[in-house]
Amino acid sequence: MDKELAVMMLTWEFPPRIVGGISPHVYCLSRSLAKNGVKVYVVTCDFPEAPQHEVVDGVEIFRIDSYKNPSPDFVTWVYLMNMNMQREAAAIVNNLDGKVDIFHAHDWLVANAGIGLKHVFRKPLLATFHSTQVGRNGAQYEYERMIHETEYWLTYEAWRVICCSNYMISHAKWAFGLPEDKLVMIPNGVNFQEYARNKNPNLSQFRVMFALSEERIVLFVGRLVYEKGVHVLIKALSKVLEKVNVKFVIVGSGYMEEELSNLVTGMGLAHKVMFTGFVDDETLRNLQRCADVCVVPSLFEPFGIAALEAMAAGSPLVVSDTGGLSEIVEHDVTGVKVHPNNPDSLAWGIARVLLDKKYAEQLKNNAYKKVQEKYDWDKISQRTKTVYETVLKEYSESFWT
Amino acid sequence: MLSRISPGSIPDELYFLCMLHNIGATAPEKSLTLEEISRWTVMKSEKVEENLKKLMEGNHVESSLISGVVRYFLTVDGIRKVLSMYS
Repeated sequence: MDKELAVMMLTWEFPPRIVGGISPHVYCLSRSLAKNGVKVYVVTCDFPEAPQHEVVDGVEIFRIDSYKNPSPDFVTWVYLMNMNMQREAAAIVNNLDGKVDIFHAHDWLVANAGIGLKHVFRKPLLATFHSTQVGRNGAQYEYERMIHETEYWLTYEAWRVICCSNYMISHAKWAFGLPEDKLVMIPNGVNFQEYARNKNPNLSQFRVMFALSEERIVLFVGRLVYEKGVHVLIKALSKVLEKVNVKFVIVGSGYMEEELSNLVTGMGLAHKVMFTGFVDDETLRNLQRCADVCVVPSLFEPFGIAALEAMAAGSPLVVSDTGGLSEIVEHDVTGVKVHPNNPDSLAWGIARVLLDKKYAEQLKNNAYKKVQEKYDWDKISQRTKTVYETVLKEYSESFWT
Repeated sequence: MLSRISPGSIPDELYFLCMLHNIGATAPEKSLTLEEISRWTVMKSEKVEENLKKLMEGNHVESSLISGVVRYFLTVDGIRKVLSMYS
């Protein structure tokens, strides 16, 4: 490819609008692609105090008015937001004299906009699936079925579907009946240089804000929703306390926050659990660095960026043996794998790490080496660029061009 | 009892927070009065006021006085709480 490849990424979340894993993924991928010579335009939803247009690290970001049309429910809000996103993205493409080669949509939340832009400009559409409706909550109710159908439609219209783990590849094949040659596995990455670069020398002073000196910190980072398994972690607490003095620090927000808080209070262990809510990047990285163990007790996990972040921060890791986590972590080598949805197993795993310093040290050293070798964003963006180039070659040879 | 997300199974004020998000009360310039919220959500003013009070205590909703009228909108924490249900 001689001319610069130009990609428009569509995403409902992009920093500072951070909800789950899509935001850090698109942020890091787009920056890395820009470093590798790809022109990246990100079109995303607005967020308080974030500028409508900016250029950051070579990535041009456009934030659309996503609350233009009042809606009776969330799914309708998504569809109306997509109409607006498509309209504004089309205007951006026209201002660029049509110089966008590929549209890349992230999850069902921007499906309609991506599909519309594909047909308006007759350019290939790629889709990355970070999760699925059937995996998260099933598709029992009307709105859940609608989300599932929208996901299916996106996979149908996409030239290629990128999944973040081999587990997600199998899952997508099953959920959407996709052929093998449509699917590409490219894992998520982690910006481990951020952890190395911003080391805080006063971690002991930082640590006292979260736990007493004699308490070992057990850290969870993620959305407080059912599939992340935080309730399993809470149920493991009393069993862990039988063996070691800990403080659970739970970072994140979600609809289960009140329920989890009530569960902890009901167990009489409110003094042993801190719910921090959403925290800024620096606080999060410092917590990951000073945690004695990081736990990812997910029930459904397409990948598990939280696990990579713990590995990059040099924190020993205990994860559910499920989904993408099973691929990232090698038991007894880079972390401890436990049975999903099993508080006894989880308590065992946490105690195993906390009670054996030498073992914990081995795990975190191996994990750090692995994350540098395999989950570097530069390598991941190269693989993504190769997919773009393959798709453009096929497109140029197709009747559709 | 812990519950998975499904229509009717989330706490009232969380459902109300989602409604505020969906009707677009997400910034001071998009804030709504009690009356407007009551109309959009088809809820009685007293119920709206009760939910707003709980959400303000939890820092998910903020109020501001604009041209002598109290108007309400979601905070950043409130927006994140709603979005976390669907990501």
